[in-house]
Amino acid sequence: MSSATVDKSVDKTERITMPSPSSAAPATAAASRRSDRKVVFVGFDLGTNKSCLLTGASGSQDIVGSKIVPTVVGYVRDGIVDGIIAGNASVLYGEEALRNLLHVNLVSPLANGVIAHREAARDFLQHIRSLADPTSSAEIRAVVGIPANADEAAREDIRLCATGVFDRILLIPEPFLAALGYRDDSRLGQPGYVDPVTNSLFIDIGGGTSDLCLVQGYFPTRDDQISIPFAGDAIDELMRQDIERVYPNNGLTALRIREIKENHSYIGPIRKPIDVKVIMGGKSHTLELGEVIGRACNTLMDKIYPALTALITHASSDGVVTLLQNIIITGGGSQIKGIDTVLQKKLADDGFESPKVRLAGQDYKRYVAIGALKAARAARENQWQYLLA
Amino acid sequence: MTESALQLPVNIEPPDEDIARLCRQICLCRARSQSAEAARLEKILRNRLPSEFNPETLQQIFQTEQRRVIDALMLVELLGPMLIERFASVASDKPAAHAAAASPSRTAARRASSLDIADLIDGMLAQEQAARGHAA
Repeated sequence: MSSATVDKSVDKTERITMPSPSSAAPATAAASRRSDRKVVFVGFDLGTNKSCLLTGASGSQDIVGSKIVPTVVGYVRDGIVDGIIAGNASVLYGEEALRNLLHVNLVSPLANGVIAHREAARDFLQHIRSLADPTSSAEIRAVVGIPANADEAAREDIRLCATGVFDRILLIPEPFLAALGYRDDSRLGQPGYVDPVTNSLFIDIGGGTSDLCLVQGYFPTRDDQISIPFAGDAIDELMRQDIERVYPNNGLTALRIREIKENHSYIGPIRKPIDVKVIMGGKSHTLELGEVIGRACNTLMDKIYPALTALITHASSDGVVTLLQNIIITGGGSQIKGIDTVLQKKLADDGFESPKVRLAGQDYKRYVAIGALKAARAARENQWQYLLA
Repeated sequence: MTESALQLPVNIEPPDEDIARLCRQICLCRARSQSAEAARLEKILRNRLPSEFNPETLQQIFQTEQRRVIDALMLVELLGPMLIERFASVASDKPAAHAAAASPSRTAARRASSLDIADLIDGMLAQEQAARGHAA
């Protein structure tokens, strides 16, 4: 190196100071704004008749909010006198809509588990958001349960309705979420405890669909899931037709028929008498509905059983004996009396090895949402889908 | 390539890209607490800068490269563990993965007592992507 070069170097040292790391440019303003917002995780079972919402904060395993909301939107009719509706609201949701049945046009956003009325679905999701985050300032990351084998159009409908409502979304089939929710994390690894996610068959009987799903240690493929568009609502409709045939002009509403079903449903040999008191034309009547209820509910068994055996046959032969010991029924249909014993007996009579069918238990309304919240907490950053308004 | 082919003629100034690259290397060494290497590169940079090179321009180049290094390190911090985990699971499941390509429902080998939910979600997203690919 020449002396001239050395001199230049000395000069440069005096004139040019290498910037230190502390003079680095700050993070972008957008990133800073994103990091300031609180994150709320939402586990959401968007059911045809009833939805279940669970919320939790980032950095905590606690469930902060838990709510079951009837999936209905009530648009207040024109001409309703001020003060009749609380706060003179123009749109009501869930229980409040049902309480004001006479004053609203009631809309069910979903049919058979998928969105049937987009505007109402969007309004309903907005309401759910307000329940999850009353401050309207948080970033909402929602895992939403969808029927098994919901097609791309149904998924896209949910995304469109959720755009501008949730910030990020993940759509996951309901029976898988039910398995995740049913899993007792505190017992994992204990001898004798079979993790339902490793080897089980879930039957989720809701209002619009009955979904069956093989869960064997990997995310279920399309072949591992069957969705039957026959569930609670279809049973109600069969009952309605039968009651109309036996007791014409009875005037029973859909809600009343659903109530009768929820109180008296059963599967198996016909039970009589099942006497139900109803008001018809302002007068009290007693209807004997044992055969009506039994016929309608047994139709459900006729639909579910072939799907169940198809999945059992499809299961890996390595674990099918254990699988047969872990058939779990969840959803509202799990409340039908006798459904577990009848199903178990049918399987045994057909030669399946020591089947054991059990009910999910009293938390049956929440397992999908519990599983969804677990998934929301566990999902990696790159797994979320951004919903850009 | 011979050494002589690599040497730059002394009367030609190094381009700005070369200066930016050196600045970037220096910022990276500083971020990794490699102070000796950073000092060595600073000396090389000083020797390469033309005498009339504007100090403010050098400051700007340094700030730009510093921002890039910070962004890159953030990405490494986020992606690094995920990639390590992915490669590790691919390496251990290699025979199962090959069979899974033909029949995923039959070859799931995980009977672990605790299954990572995020991995299961990865499986779901992979299926969705494959289905979209078939549809296209």
